[in-house]
Amino acid sequence: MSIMNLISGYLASDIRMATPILFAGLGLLIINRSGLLNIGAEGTMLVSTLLAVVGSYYSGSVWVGLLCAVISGALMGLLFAFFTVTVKANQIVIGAALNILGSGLSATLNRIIFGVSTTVTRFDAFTNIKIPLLSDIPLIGGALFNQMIPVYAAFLLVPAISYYLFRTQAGLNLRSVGENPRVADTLGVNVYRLQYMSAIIGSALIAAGGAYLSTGLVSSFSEEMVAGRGYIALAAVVFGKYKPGGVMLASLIFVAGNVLSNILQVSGTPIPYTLLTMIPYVLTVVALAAFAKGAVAPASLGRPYKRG
Amino acid sequence: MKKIALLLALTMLAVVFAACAAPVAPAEPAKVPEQQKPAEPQPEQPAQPEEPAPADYSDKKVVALLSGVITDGGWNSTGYKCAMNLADKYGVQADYVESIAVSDMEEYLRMYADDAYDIIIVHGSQFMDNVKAVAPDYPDIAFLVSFGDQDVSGGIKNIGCVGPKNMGILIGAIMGILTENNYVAFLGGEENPSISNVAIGIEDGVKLTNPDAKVVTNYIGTLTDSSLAKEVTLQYIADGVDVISGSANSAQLGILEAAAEEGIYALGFNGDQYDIQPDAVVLSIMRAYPAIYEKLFLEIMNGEFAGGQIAYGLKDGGTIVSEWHGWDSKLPKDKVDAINKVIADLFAGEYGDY
Repeated sequence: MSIMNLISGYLASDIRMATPILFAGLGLLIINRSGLLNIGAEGTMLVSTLLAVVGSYYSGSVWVGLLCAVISGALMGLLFAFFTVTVKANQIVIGAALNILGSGLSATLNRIIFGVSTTVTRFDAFTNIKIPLLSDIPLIGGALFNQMIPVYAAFLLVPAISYYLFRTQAGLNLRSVGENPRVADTLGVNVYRLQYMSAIIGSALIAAGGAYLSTGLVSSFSEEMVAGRGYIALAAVVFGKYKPGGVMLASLIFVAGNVLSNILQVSGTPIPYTLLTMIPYVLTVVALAAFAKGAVAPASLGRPYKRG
Repeated sequence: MKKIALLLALTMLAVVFAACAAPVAPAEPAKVPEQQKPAEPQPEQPAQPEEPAPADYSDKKVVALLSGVITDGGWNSTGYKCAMNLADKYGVQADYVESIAVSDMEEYLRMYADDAYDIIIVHGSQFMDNVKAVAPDYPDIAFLVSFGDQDVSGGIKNIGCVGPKNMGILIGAIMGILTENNYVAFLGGEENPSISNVAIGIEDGVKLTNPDAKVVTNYIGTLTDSSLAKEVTLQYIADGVDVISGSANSAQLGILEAAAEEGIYALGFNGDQYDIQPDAVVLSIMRAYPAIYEKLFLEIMNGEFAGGQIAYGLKDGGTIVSEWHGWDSKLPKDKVDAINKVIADLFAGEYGDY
């Protein structure tokens, strides 16, 4: 196999594996920008991985699966917003509760719906869509333009969310709520409504990442299959300096660590596998330590806003 | 007035506490000795007087303590089935606990031992140290650790190291026949003795049937992340591997999916995994744990249990191979014949003491 093919293969692997983290990161970014700190992405993704499979299995269409997943995410977001915005509970505690809820709920529902058996249910899943002409570009064509629709969607969301946050009035309102809700309130911005909306929409995006995990990257559900990606996404937002482009870069770099460790494993180096599988995490820690200094979190992140 | 109210409230509180505490406090210590004492003579009791008649085991309690979830279609599903099999066939009270971390295992062991369970199945060699710490305190309870490759009981008489051995030899031998590229791989989830003792045999097994083949055994570093396992497998396939097998709990699903996607052969493990990927899984190699534990259960009930290593090699029936599910007509006939022969020979002990 030529070196060009190999590099193209690594790039494709990096992009498709980064997609769930990118979805989750973008969702968290929107939530964070409204001043809410949600560490519950892992749980939200777990529920959505299952519901994507359930929706696809019963309807025969992966799109219905995606819709179910997104709705489940929106409901998790609504739950989070209710407790943090209306009840004003501690946001970290509620986020942690979402993770535990997601883990238990997905496992329990899975057993209720599919039972405890060794047979794996088959269902409609995403397939690669080749974009004509563009996919023939050497080196990057196959990696960038022969992917599944959610991958294209995630990467197209980056400029879209960037435009929304930094070029529109609505985006400015959202950011101002995250920086100083009182001022935003006095200027006539409905703080609570915006926080609700961002929690719901952000969580729906996080759920889309989960759906892609179980009906795209692999086409099966297994318990705890999210395997920490919800937490990596948290780091990606900080590393990405609370900007969509940064989040994209962060997810790609983190997953590149994964790909690198895979390549080294296959190449048969004498390095023990335990060290190799550490690479992505070491990379994350180093990256956070080196770049997080410039990351300025929204000023009122994590602080509940009390009107009046 | 205030003082009276306070006094009243305090009294009520005291009454409530007393009411709560009263039944709880004596009940717990009372329960344990009551159940522990009869547990001593009981193991011999039901079987001794009437050997052939089905004994009543409904007062026996068995628990399977598992490292993962029972829906993984492999290792932990098997552990769960061991306990349920005893419940179905002998009417014992069977329980299971999932996803136990090594750091929590001792708590669970003491909890079930205090509750006078007769048999505690600890499904995974990683828990050996926990078992050794607890077992001497409960000499009447059988602690069965699912790991038959070595005697790691440390001479403690109520610990059994139970399981098949030399499975890797069989898996390797089959992979050696299946490969066209002479390049096969076995991927473990994590390097723990239960998995690495299978991995160790792979190379020797391949050499039995295909001395020229390149063999890779490696670890992915996850037992749950099926998408990562799939990516690693895809890399190996790109590198030329054309027969893959693995042992990685639910991450195994990713290994099999990669094989199906790229059209290479795979071997299932720990459960009949044909249904997971019918286009890739040629055969599944399984540990005969439910049968092994059933046999052992009867031995324990008859008082014949002495602890130590209770290993079932290939020729002792510790390993089972699934049926062909139609693959015997899809594969070239010479390969099918060669595989059938090597399985029969290994089981018959033709290749030595495996």
